[in-house]
Amino acid sequence: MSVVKPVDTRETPLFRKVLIGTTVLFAAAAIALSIASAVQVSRSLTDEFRSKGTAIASSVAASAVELLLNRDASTLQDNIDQFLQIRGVAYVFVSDEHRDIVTHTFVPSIPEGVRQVSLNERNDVREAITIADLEVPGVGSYIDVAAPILSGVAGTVHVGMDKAVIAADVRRAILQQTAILLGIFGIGLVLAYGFVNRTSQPLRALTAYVNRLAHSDFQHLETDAAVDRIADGARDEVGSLARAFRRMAATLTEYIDQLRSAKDELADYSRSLEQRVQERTEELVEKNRTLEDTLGQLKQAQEQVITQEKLASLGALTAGIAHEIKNPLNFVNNFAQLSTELTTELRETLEKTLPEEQRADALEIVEMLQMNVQKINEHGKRADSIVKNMLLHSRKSKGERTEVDVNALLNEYLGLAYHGVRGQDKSFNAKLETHYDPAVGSISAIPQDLSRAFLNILTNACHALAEKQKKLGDGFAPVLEVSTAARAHEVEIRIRDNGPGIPPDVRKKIFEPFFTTKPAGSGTGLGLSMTFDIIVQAHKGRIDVNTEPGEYAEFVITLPRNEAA
Amino acid sequence: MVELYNSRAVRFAAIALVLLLAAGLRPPVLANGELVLGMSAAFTGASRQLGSELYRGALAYFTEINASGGVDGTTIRILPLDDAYEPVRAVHNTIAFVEEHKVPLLFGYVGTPTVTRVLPLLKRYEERGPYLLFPFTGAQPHRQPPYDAFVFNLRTSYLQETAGLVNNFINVGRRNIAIFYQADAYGRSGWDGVRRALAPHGLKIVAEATYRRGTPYTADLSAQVNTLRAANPDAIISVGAYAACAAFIRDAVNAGWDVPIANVSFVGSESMLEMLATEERRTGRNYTSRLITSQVVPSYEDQAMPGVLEYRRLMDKHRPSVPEAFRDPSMTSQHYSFVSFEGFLNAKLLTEVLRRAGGRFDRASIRTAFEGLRDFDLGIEAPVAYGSGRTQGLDYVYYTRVRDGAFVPLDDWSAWKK
Repeated sequence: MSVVKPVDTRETPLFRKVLIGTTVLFAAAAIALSIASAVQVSRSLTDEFRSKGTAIASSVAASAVELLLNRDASTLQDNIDQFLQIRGVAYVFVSDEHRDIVTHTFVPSIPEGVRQVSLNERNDVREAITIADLEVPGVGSYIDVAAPILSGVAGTVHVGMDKAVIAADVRRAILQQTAILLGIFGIGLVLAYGFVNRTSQPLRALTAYVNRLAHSDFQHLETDAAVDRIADGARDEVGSLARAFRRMAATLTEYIDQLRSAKDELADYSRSLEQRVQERTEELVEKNRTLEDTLGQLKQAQEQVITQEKLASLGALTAGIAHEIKNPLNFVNNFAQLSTELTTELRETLEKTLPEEQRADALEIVEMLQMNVQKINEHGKRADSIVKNMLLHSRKSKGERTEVDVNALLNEYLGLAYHGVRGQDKSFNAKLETHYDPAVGSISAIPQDLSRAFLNILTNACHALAEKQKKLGDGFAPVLEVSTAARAHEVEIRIRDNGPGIPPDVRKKIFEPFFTTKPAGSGTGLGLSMTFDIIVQAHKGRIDVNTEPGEYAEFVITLPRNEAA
Repeated sequence: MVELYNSRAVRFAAIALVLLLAAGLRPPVLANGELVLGMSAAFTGASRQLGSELYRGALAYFTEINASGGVDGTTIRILPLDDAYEPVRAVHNTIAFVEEHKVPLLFGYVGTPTVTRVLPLLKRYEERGPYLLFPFTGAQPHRQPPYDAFVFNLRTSYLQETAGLVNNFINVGRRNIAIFYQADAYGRSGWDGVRRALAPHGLKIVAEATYRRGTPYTADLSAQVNTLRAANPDAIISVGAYAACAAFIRDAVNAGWDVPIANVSFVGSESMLEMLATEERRTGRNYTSRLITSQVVPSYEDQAMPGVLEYRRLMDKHRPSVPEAFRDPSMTSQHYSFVSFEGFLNAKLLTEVLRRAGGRFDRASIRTAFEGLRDFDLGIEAPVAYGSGRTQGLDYVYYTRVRDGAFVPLDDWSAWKK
């Protein structure tokens, strides 16, 4: 969180002061030493050159005696040539008793200044070796050492020592000295840097430490290796300072840790509170949803109960009515039957008894009468059939519960229904798709009732397909799908056709008795009602309808597996 | 490993010791009948053509002698070592000849500073040491005591050469004589000769200029030209080697100075002429019209002399070349030259001496053979004479000038009248 400002450890005022002091000291020492050594080198070289020149001049003078006397210029030249190899020797020349230069080493010629030296030689200096400074303009400056040959009787030897060599040596000496001093200075700098570093390093470390302290960077307080080293290592004031700092830091850290843990606890507490509230809220929401679901289920159940009650009461009513109607209807039927026979007898009688002219009218009337009676009889029988159906509907099943192979039963009645419809309408044709789940197996059921229920639904489906086929013609491919599936404790049966589907208003009334969409006289409106009773009431199952008008209709029958009868 | 090394080192040391002893016991004349001559000379450096030419001339004659069976069955071989005209190297070479090669004779050394420095060595090896025969220098040290005891010369001295030049110049009225010389024993020797020749006429050298030994032809010598010209001399005597002398003549002519310049025999006439001819082709100036050269052998163009004919014949026949080690493709070998002619005559005289010594090469025999030479004819119409303390065989000086790019005899000095 807090940023520690970087502490400049490169250069410190202490080091800068030491650096400046050292530099000044060394500069002064270098200048002083350079001057001193320049003077010293110059002096000693001059002395050396003087003595060297003297030695050479004496040597040449000694050996030249005989050579001069022998007039052997060649050997004398060879003799002096060798001295040119000696460092600092610029020239050697020998002049004879006439002060003529008889041998020399000058190239390209004897400088005029040198010739003058030889010519101006005084007689009184010929006794001893003389040393003089010789400036030859444009050529150089020399230390000229003159030695007499044979006490000056035979001539003089001059040896010139080059001052330029002295100057060069002085320069080189100064350069060397400067280089050495620079080297020492460099080493001194390194040492000073090291010393200052060693002295100020702990202080800087402590400073940095305190800076971090000031910036509340408590993370590093207890793990500062540098400070630990100082505190544990140094037995001086810096060490005690470091130890004091460390103790202070430890105390601070302790306080701050307590604060921090208190703060953390508080934060934890508030965080858990929040969480608990949320958990409770979620629980409530869950419960609310469960309640809503339960309520929905209740409502559904209520509706179902109402529907069932309605249907049941309707069935009971129907049964009652049927029963009541059945007796009068029996009378009507019986007498209508009787009347038919009677009219036939009447006709025969009339044919025999009546005159020709009356017979025609009478027979006509009898004919009509007979027809009427027949109509009564016919419709009476039909009414009787309805009533019988109604009674059948209301009647408690007398069938026995037994193990029923659902797949086999379904398949059997699929064939019956399909071929039944095809029997009435040869043009009908549909594709039958069956998906029987072998796991379905057998359930406890009343086979007569169950088969009837299957037949009703399957026949309805076939009729629906036939209707749509008639309407659409060859462009339509009718498909009737029948499938079973084993559920946990249930068996599911799906019967699906891709017929015209069921409109919503029809959908609502589909299980009501006497509701039918078929033309009057071709259906009783009791098929699906009966089916509903069989599935829901007799077998405690469910029946659902899924449909999309114009596309398909699907009946889903769910039967419980263990029906405790 | 260490033991092996040690034993091997011991064996080597033993073998080396035996070889050294054998070498020490070896007689001066080699067992296979070959006489080896030690020759230290300039085969490299600015004066390399002097050593090379001297060697070639001698080689031509020795090759011929060896082909005909040598001298009494002894063949002669020159063992050349290069000193590059440097005194110190000449000294080292001489030590090597004596200590290592044990040569019975030193032959054909080149140069005054080199020979002057070698002389004390000859004295050092007085007991068993060889003579130095016919060094290519006219300086005095080896012509006078104490070193005349170790050297036999054939050629005329610089004193004689310079005196001849000085006298001829004075005869044609050229009395103010300046000198250009090499700053060493050789130059000083010529300087001394000029000075001594002038003294009887009451004259002194009017101006002098020097150059450092080894100065190449490419060096600028106009400082020396200016120094001498300031004294307005009538003639210049030049005592040097060909490269610097040619450079001096070049700079003098280029400065428009037509003073006669006379060189001594050591200069290497053909080498100098070659440099000046090249310069002439380059600038179109005539560098040789005022050029005189004194020689110590007659012109090899004088075919009336049997010695010249023999020289030319053997040079043509054997086409001698410099030793393999010193061969340099940039160096043009001269067909004939004064220097190689001198080498040839040296060889011829040595052969005669050896013949007279009768196969003995000790100092006494050699000296006796030399002293027996009186009026010996080398075929150059100049009798060689030793004996009666003489250590120099010839005393003639020949003067030449350049005409049509070649040296021709200069007999009439009147053309050089002032």
